[in-house]
Amino acid sequence: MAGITAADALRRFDPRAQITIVTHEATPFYSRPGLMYYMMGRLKEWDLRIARDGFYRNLGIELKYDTALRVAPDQDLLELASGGRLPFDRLLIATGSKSRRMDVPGADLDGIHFMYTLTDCKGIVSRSRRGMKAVVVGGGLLGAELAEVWRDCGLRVVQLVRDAWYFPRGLSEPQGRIVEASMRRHGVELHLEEEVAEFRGQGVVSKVIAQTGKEFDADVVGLTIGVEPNVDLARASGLAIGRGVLVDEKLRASRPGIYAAGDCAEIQRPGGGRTVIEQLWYSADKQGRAAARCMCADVQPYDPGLFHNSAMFFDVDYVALGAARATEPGQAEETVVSRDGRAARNFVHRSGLVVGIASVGANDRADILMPMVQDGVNLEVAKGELKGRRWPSAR
Amino acid sequence: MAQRALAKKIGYPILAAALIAFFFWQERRTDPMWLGRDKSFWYETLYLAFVLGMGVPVLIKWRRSRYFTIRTISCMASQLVWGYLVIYFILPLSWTTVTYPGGRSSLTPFAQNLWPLEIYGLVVPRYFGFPPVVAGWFVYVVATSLVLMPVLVLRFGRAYCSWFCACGNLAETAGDPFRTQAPKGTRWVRFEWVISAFVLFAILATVFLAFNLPGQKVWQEGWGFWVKFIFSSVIGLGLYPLLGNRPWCRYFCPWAGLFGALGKLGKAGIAANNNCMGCGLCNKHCDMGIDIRRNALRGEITKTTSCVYCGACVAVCPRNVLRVL
Repeated sequence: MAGITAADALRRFDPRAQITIVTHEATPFYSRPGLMYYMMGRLKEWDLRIARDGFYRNLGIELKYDTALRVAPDQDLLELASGGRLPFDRLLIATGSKSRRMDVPGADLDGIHFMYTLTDCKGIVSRSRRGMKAVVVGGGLLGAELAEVWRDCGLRVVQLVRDAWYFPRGLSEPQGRIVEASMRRHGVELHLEEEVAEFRGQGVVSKVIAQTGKEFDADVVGLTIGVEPNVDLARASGLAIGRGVLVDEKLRASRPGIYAAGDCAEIQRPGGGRTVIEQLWYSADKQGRAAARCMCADVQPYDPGLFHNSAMFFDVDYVALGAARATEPGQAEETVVSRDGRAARNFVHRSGLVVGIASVGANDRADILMPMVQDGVNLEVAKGELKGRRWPSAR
Repeated sequence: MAQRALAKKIGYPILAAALIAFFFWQERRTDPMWLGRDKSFWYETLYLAFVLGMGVPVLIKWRRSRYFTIRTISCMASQLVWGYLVIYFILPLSWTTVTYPGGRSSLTPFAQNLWPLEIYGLVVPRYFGFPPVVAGWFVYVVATSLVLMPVLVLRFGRAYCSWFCACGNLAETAGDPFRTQAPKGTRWVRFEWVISAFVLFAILATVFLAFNLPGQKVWQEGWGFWVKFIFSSVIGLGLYPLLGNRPWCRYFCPWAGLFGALGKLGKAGIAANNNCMGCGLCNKHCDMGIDIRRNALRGEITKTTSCVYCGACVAVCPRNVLRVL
């Protein structure tokens, strides 16, 4: 995402630049958020493609199906898996994320799937049959998607969640309960505060053992315990890495001429402080554009702007702007639950001024919440303004 | 699910074959009457039955979307009231048997349809003078086709196409299961120019008819056979499973070709907030093959000549991104 956006933006900044994209994924630039619907059979592979019909040709971008191994240590050359070498003036590393692996016995058994690439999803589809027992490990946005897919395909779904309620990183407790209720209503057997101790099976997974000793039968397992920056290329090239590829606020990596953007970039803010890794579809778009600007020697630093995310937990929608939870010192939060208990908004504020709103089940639109958070309106004003809006409404 | 698939595989071809056969027979029959009624009455009865019957599953399938529900009810109601009750039961006094030079005879009102969807609307006075009935219909056709409807399009785009146009009524009810089949991609969008060929055809046919030029019979028959039968009925209806439910509206409809572009001037469009993740469900369900996602990803308004504001993209969007303007 960041890579394509950057290429698109670069072409606009510099009509004569020679742009090459190196990718190892055979389907060029598809919509990862659409994968869920692909697995449900509602979209075909072609429908996922965002770049199509001569997209690259029109932009004058060369596409190379190859894997970048490393940057030559002494000159600006990209070494490819095919043995080729690609000289560059500017290199953008947009290698994205990879699924976080699990370090427990049996984690490499057959039938244990990640859900990140189209290939992963094809594997899941080919494995899943109606009536099978599926176990989803991980209680996040991806976990909810996978559970929904499997329920839609008629599997029995058990989901193991580490935390005390669903997705505490983005949901306050009352909100988590609403989401859990929705998931249970749709037939997902949720187990909170359960972590996997072991996968068992003869070649193919057949049982998931939790740390509490509980056992769950499983024909197929989905691991959705998060993603981590894919730093293989940067590491092999000797770039500075932390959790991700370390870049400054102009997205420059530790070696001149090399930039990183998207999921894989770890942005250091001037003056130290916490580094930022944004692993979102939206941020990849923003960072890609910013990287293109920086690569054209513009001096404007990347501004992450307002955090923004949205998702669906079955029929419950989720929108977050700014801080979803009060995590920094000085912040407090207050959850307002609707009268019927099916929607809740979590207001994060700093001494009464809103710095973030996360809304569940309320059908809130990002464009309405955004100005409130951006301007940091008074908590009571924000609550009042949203109060008149219809709570859980049909479209 | 299995029932649906069965209905789609077996039910639809029977429906289409019956309707097309009926249409062909009606166009060919010289006697305007059959079983004591105008021959078109029977065709319209069948048509109405399909719109109402197939509308019910549509209402159930899309019940979560208010816009869709209201629109589908509007389709069914307009077909019942305007396309049927008014024409055959409330206004039968305005009927006159007419025979155009060239032999086409009809008992129906001269033009319940917009010009140039129906080329006869504008030429009736040429052949039948101005008795009150003829004048009434002539004024009606001119007012609706050239004034009222273009104004509506100016504000609402081609929404009429999915709210109360007769072709649209069928496309949005019987054709609903096929909406994902619409051909997608820039190549098919570029192909939309053919609609202007149909506009040209309609205008030429009208001119020939209006001035009774030599060869007007050929134009009339060409219009009847090629446009009305082959393109609107056989291709427009029979090929739903291949080309989606709106090949006629997208590529052939001469009225849309003439006035559809007006919609781009007004405020009509599909607005997007910045929640789009690019999953592509909107594109998949667009029966006009519009690339909505492209604009939605950038948070831009989708303004096209072809959008009929059926609301499918809005209803399927899992993130509440889109909105009909």
